[in-house]
Amino acid sequence: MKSSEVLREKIMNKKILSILLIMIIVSVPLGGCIDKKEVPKEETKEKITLKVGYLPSMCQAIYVLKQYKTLERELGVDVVEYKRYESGPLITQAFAQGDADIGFMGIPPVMIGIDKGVPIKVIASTHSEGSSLIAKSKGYKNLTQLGSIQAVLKQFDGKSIGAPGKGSIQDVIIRTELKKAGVNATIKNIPIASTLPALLNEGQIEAYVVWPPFEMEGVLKGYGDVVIPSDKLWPYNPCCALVVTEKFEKEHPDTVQKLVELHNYASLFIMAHPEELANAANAELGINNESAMASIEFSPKYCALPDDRYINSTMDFVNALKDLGYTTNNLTQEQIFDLKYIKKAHPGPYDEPGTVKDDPAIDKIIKG
Amino acid sequence: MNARWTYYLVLPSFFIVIWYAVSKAQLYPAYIVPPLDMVIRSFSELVGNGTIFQHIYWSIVRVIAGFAIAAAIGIPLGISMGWSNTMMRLVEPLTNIIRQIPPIAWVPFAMIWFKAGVVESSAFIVCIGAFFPILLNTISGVKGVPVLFVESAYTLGANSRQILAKVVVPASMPNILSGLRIGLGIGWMSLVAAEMMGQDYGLGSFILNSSTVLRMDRVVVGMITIGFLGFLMDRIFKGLESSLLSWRGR
Amino acid sequence: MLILKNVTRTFISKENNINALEKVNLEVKDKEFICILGPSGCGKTTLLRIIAGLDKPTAGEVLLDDIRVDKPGQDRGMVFQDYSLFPWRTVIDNIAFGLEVLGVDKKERYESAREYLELLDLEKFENSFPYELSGGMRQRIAIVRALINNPKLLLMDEPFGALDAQTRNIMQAELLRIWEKKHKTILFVTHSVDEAVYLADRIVVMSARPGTIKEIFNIDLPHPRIRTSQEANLIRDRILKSLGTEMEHAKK
Repeated sequence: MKSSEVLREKIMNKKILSILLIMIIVSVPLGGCIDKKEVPKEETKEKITLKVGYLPSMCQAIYVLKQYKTLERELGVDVVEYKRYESGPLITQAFAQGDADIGFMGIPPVMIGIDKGVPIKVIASTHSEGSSLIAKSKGYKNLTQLGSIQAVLKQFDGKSIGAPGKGSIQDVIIRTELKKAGVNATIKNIPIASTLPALLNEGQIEAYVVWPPFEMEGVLKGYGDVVIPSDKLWPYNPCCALVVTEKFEKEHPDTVQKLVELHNYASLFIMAHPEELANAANAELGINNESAMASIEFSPKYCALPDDRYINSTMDFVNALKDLGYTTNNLTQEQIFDLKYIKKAHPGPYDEPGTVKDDPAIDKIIKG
Repeated sequence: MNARWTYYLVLPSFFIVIWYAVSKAQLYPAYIVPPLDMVIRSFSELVGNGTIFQHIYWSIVRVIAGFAIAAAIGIPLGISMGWSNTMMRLVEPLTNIIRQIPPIAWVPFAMIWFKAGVVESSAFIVCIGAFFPILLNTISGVKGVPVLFVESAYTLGANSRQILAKVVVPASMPNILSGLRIGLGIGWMSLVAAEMMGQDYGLGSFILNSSTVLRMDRVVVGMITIGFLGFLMDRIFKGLESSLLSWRGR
Repeated sequence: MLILKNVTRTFISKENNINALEKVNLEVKDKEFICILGPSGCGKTTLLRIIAGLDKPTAGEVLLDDIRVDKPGQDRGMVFQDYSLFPWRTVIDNIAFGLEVLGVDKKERYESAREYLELLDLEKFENSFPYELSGGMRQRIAIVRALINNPKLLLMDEPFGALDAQTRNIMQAELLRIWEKKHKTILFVTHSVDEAVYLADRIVVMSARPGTIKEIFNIDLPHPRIRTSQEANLIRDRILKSLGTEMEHAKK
């Protein structure tokens, strides 16, 4: 009796093992065939969906475009899907997974992605600067008083400074500057960036750097003051950019061109009517108008054309990122930028803040 | 081939083989499926320079702190709720509501109420995760004590207090220990939520920080470490249960 | 000396009331061995529980040595049908439980417990856990656990009901041996007429619900009794007859 049971078990074992072996042999080639991003090309009418990722940060023309449904109207795609991500690295991950086609996001996460092989390119700028250092109201002297960035940063030796997640612009800027100044401060990377003003008030951090409008929110609420304004902290640093996946670019180059054009108009629109961006951001993010307007006034460089200063600043970032260990390769300009679209859409020179006039034609296109 | 442990190895080996094959065939970029050799290299790097042990140390400290608090509150509360209907009616509605809220939702509060990024705030999140299994299992243990034992004790001259201490608690031990083991497991799983407050060290923050810079190989190292340590803790706890509960027989 | 005066117990529920016991009157003398027999549902367990103090009568009272009984206590030890030893305690800790709750120190109470283990011939099992013991052993220890407190009354609710026939007979003999040594008053509830005839000085036959005392039989046979003797058979017949009519009533 026992031997037949043992025999049955042995046969069962053999069956299980052989099934497993077949699974192994079959799944390797199968793995290569599974590609959920493939769109069947035999469809007569190709439905174009545009997946847009963006940040809860004000330096994005996307808020205005979204509010006025400009893309739906003018772009010529069938569906536009918007998704807001908590941080830049999350949008990079979305690109990696195929969940986003274009993104309005910070530059360092883009560069980190490109370094790792994520196939994306920067095609326009959305905003320059926008990372001021805010510190507690009492006890810290600002740049005007002390004269050099080094002197200001030295005040935070041995203290905590808050920043958004690792790999964000502010994180890269503050770490690089602290290193340059030889200052030893602890950086607290807080994934939920909107809590930074509260943490400053609670005394958990002595200062913070964050994207608009949260820098100004801290100031307006009386928690702290600007000790280094963003245009001095890292002048012309490429705050945010418009990014596209190589796949979408290859499949729909005309759409990308049109997109860049619309983005350009939106940027001009914002520079002529800053309150429009403030309202749009308020509507979506619930940020109060005061903070929003203060942010725009403080940091108004919204031109869509990445000029030489923007590009050079970006290349400085390449070194900074490598230094911090966030990237491993020396990225080249060609790897990061693809500027043919914006050059076509914006042939003229860079628009300095305060020089953009109201243009009813642009208004019409944006607002519909 | 018939030894039990060979069976344990079959599926993991299967996965490792597939993983290796996929990596070698370069079917996916590194930021989607980190290659096996890259993960192994990262792992030895982190072991070599000792960082992995710092991460492990801090995570364990936070989890033990949170777990201890959860047990210190959960067990007495569970006993009183199981024993007294009044207590149950008073407290249960509240615990039922709070129980539904996932630990991660408490993170913003943890950051403000306690200092963000120190043991207290993480321990708080772990505590929230560990608390309810401990509480509920203790309650069911107490409620499940056979009336026969309680009545026997009364006829042997014990008063209520003695019955609680000498009969109810020992009789509920299997459930209490089971609740502790499950609570520890859930507390451990809450690590990633507990460490998203800007900590530099800790397995959860290690995974988060690595993912923001797209070092998915490190994410995998973190995940494997968390999984393996969780498994180890569970095993140790089970051994503890066996020795403490040897009176159950079998 | 135990006196039951008009003990009545009614269970009130939403659907209907159950009159478990109705005006039960009984007097039990010291050192008597009384068996309570009756059909299912006649309330014999309820009666025992009321005497133990685990339940309260709706009307009437129970007096033990002229003191009213209304809650459990060491003076009335109880042995249940199900195995009631505390599984997490060793045998000796189970036996010593009653002394432990009184605050007796370890040395003393272990000494007393060991005396009882010797009485049962189970000294070897002092540090065993209940799960390691057979059913018969467990019930013996349960009896001794109740006896260590020197109760005035030992209440037993079908304590051998879960055991097989042979073990049951052995246990009955064991019980008698302990009873003769310790001279306790015992109230023993059972289904089995044979068991009652073998053990009891007096047999109380209860009626079907609502339970009252139908008939009381005096058994004057000396111990040890021969289960199949003529006298035993006669008594058994009479009791079965008495019970028989009650069983019919109970079926309705």
